[in-house]
Amino acid sequence: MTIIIWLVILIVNAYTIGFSITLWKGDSKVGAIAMFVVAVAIVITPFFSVLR
Amino acid sequence: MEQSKGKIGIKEFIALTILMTGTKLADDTPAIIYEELQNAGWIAPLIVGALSIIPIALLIRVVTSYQDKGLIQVIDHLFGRFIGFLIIFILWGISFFALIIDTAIYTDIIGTMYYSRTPTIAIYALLMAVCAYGGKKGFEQIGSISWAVLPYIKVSVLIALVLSFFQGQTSYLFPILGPGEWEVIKESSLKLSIFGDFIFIFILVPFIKSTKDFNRGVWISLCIIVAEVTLAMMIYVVMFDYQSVMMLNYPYHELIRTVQLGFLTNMETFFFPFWLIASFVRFTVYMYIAAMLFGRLFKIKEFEYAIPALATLVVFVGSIPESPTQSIFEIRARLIDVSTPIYIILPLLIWIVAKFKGDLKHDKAKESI
Repeated sequence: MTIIIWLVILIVNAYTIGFSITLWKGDSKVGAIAMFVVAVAIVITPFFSVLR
Repeated sequence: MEQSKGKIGIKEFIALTILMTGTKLADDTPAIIYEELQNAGWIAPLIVGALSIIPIALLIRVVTSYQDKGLIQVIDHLFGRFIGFLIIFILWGISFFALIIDTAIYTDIIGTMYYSRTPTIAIYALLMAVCAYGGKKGFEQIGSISWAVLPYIKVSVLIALVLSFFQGQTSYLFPILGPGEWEVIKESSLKLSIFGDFIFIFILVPFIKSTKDFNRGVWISLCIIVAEVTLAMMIYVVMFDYQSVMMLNYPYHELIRTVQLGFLTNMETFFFPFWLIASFVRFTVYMYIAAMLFGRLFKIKEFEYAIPALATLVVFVGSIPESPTQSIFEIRARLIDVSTPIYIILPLLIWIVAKFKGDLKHDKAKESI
């Protein structure tokens, strides 16, 4: 199960950072930063819940 | 053929609103109400519904005064950049937190009552994956699916309630006013935000074909929701008596496990799929609204692309509580207490500011005369 969770984290993170880069290039810097924060949160929060 | 341009009509809007708020009869909302109001708990939705008329009427008055503007745009217009940002941030905080808490509760219901051997994270991930997929499809699709599934869901709920009514004891309803009339009014007023979703519905105004449809849709939905939640809560008492309902976290699911139709037992296998579909629709709308507010806050025009990331975050944050049946129940009760003042004060504040600015329809008409 841990491997699947890590795989999901990796895929969603790649998607979120990709979207963040798109927003940065599209001149929506605030949106890009917000999405990057969400991407970081997706990596951190599992350690307090599913990967505890 | 007429192009709808992503907008929905009155029937889809009513269906969506009913599924969004009416589903609360099947989670732990009845238990939260019965904890304080004992056997008079079923009166609470009537009082909450009556009191909700004030904030809803105020918001309708303001929002319909602007052409094609939803609550977000109206707040921006009335309060300016900084205070507007703050108010929308609070709304987003409440909607996102409510989404996390409510999805955790529904995951707990599915996990404890039906799929006890399936890992919680798998149930949670599947629930949010379906909602994220639905949310990303767009608002028109959410409206259409709501209207398509509503009759089946409501017929299944009605069958469950009617069967329970005939297997229960109506004498359990007495004394009607339980702990006393003042206690009933006071406690019901403090739980006003159980219908707080109505504030978020005003965000969706630009997606409704006309403000007239929206206006009629909101009132019709409110009447139907109040009637069905009251009826359901009354039948929980008739079926179990109030002391048992106070102890049951999820009375609807206990009810559908208890009812029988002649020789047919295990009736929950019939009712559960309909409840599940209603839950998917409910959280899809919640997800869409939370993403929309997030998009407005951080200037993300194509906010639908943020939905998969936000849905993943919901799963990981919602899995933090170790014993969700107890802890999430407490957190949700506190969330209702905290959001009740906002449900009353925000519409009033919006109406006062609009009145001072002279933006309301009848003020404009007076000026033109």
